[in-house]
Amino acid sequence: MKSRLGAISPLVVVLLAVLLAPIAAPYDPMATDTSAQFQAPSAAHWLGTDQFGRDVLSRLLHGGQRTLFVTLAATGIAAAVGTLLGMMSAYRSNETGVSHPGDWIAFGAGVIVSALFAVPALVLALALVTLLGTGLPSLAIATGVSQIAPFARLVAAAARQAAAMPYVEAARSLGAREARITWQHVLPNLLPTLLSATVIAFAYCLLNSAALSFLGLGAPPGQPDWGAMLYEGRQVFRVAIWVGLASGSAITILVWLAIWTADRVDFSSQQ
Amino acid sequence: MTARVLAFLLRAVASAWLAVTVTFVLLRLLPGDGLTAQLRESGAPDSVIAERQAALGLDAPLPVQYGRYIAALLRGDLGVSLLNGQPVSELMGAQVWATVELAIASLMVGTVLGVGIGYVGGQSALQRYKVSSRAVPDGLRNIAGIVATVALSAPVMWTGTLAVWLFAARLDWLPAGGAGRLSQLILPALVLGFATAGGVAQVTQRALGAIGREAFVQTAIAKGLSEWVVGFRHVLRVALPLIITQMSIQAGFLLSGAVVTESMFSRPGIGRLLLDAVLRQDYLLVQGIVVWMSLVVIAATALADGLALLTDARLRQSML
Repeated sequence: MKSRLGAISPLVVVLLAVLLAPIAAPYDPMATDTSAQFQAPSAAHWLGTDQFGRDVLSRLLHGGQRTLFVTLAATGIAAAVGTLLGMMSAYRSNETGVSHPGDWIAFGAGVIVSALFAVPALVLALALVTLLGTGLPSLAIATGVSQIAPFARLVAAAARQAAAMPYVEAARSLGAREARITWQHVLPNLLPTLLSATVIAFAYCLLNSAALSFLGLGAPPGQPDWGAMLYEGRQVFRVAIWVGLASGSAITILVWLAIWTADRVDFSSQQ
Repeated sequence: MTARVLAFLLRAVASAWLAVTVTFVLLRLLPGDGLTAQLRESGAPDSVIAERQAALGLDAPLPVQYGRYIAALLRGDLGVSLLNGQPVSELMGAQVWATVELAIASLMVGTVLGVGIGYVGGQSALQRYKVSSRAVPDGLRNIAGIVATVALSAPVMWTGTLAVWLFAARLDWLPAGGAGRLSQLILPALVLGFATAGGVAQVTQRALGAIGREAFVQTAIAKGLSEWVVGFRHVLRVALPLIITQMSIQAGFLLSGAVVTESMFSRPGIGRLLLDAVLRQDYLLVQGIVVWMSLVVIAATALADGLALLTDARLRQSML
């Protein structure tokens, strides 16, 4: 348990820092200053300024908070629904020959997961944005729902493995009901898998929500947001590469940290 | 063998049906669409809106619409655009080759780069199992590791911006966007291919480590076969099905990535068409494109399953 905590803590610390970062912003992220357009990084503006003379560092710090709120909400949706569907689809009743209602629930959950899995993640998210409209809440829902299927698959695979373990057999022989075994015996033992799957979902939610935001489906124009800053950076790359450099690096580092964490959480569970 | 082939064909058909159904259900969940909004804005009375909806068959009950949609799909008809009434297949036909071109070029870049990086990264494991005696220089191994990590973590929007900045603005070697000429394909293909290389590299590296310690490889070394023969005929040959499977997983990623890549390099293509349809809330067009993309992914998966079956004798054995 201690090593798992150690594995996840760097990511948690970084996430808290990003959430609190706006406090450290030296300027108002929305304040335009036409006399300070496209300034290269300097002592006054550490990461330079954009086409409206806005301070890139302040926009990065404020944008990180907004991007992270969306990503965390999306990860929550993927993890909650993914765990539920994954556990349900892994369920197998022991009564042979008689079709148990639980088997039908498991079959239904499996069908939903397969259906969601058949549509590429970002494409599914785009279809959902069509339905929900643009804006940050719909961005979070669209990105989260598009990560449900991969999450549920990981959980289902781990749950099927756990179901073959002796402690499940022991609980069953003591007369525990299947629902109790599923939620109170199997689920707590899947904690490392759930943790690692959540961190992976976080990485993909971050990449996909930034992509949707880059495509102009996120925050209202002008609001700082990492994906939107990448879009602005792409527009002005010939004169001011630093506009996109900062937010792109931030996303890359955070995704890398998440992948690294997921690997370590996974390893600690195997030892 | 026949049972195996039938099973995966059945699975492909079932997934296709599920993808079609989930798309249909999702896009019909909420009222409010581009057509109604557009007509209302132009001051059209409700009767005109109802007329247009009836013409498109949107006034029928949902199960009837669903039945009609499935029947049309089986005839290869993807429906019409909500906004201008043009057939979806016609709209897509005009764009599809640009995307196919980008996807194939990216897949080639991703495979070469991914297998190369994975091979370098897996050398230390191969050395441990005595498959390879040449030590890879630390520098090269570190570079391969860094490239694989960045490829896996960096958003396409960022690598794309850096690539146009370096190759178009600084060095002026390649155009920053557009389509039609080969030089305009290079940058987008490099960027999208680079993003797929991370996963391929990971799978290749893990496969090399796992296969290197297997008994048949160790036997081949003990027999005194040359490193090249063992490396290619035994290790890489057995890793091939895993790499092919990974490439088919990249098919969905390539289509997702095409949306971003096409829009950032101002290329025509299905991804651009999808984005425009989303922005205009043309959900009939969105539905057509999403269904087509899902079918492509399912076909790619089935194809990879088939290829894995051809290249992996163990899979054939287990089904006999």
